[in-house]
Amino acid sequence: MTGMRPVAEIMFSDFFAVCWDYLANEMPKMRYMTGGQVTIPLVVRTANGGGLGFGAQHSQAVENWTLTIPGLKIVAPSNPADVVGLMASAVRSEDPVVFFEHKGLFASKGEPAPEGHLVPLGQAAIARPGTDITVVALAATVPMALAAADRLAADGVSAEVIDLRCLVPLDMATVLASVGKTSRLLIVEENPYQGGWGGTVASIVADEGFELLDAPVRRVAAACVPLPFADALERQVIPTIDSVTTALRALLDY
Amino acid sequence: MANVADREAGSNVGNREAGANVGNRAAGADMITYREAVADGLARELRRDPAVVCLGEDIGAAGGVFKTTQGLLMSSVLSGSGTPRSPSRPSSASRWAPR
Repeated sequence: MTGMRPVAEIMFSDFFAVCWDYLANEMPKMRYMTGGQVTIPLVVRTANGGGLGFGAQHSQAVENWTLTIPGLKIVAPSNPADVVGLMASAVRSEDPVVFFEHKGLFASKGEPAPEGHLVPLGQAAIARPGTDITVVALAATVPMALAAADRLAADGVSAEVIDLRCLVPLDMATVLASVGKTSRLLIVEENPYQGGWGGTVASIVADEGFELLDAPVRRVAAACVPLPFADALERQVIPTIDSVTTALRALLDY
Repeated sequence: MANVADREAGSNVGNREAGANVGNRAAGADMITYREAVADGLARELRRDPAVVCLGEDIGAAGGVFKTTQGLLMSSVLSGSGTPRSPSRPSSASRWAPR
């Protein structure tokens, strides 16, 4: 607005609720309401997601909250190189970007990003090519889907894993091309099933890809309950490699 | 949050760390963590464009509650380009600008 390009950190994404007026009503609407005279080149970084036993108010995956607000771009990388490449695109965006860093991935390792690395917003990645079933994942559910795909490979099943990387812009072209090849789709998301981003992906596939499908679109998502503090209970609520593997096998058998 | 690392080691969502490396089986020894990548991504943009500024609680000297901004405050990002805006009160409202 005044020439700076701020990158603001909200310590836990759960705290978005505290600054929701700015996130929902101010930042995403300013460019539109000023007829393009004012842009908001702002990135809001935040630690998102569960699996670490932080309890109900510090573990939520809230990417679906931001998905309900037109005017916000949404980024959620799954590996170190994408973190760097997407951060570069987010900072250079003229519109507000919400950048979800997954708490469960902070210690995970990957290739460093090359010099000048830039990953355009809204470009999904094929994390693992396959021919029998498509798995669409985001952030921490990407390594989960890859691990489940590894298990299926032992049974001779070839699963294709798509890392969406962004929810807005949403790269449905890559998803639909994959479903055209595999004719089966499983969506794995950490936010609750009720109101989760997978519902949007599924509805677009139902609309634009109905004739590509040989089976129902299935979703593995969190249960719609406050996240438990106890590890054993939290495992029952959010997706795991086991639950993804089970869902994949059921869908393959359909 | 002192025990973040301990909790990560026991991460619930089935060996996320092991799983996260699945896509990088052929990777060499120069792997970096997702956490380090956040600081790397921010440092690159802070260096590239002096209009970029980071804002947040405990992101300065403390390096962020998840250590995702570790090293940025005193790094070459800022050297030769001035003093961080409020290095003297890093614990509450840390803020820096590369000029």
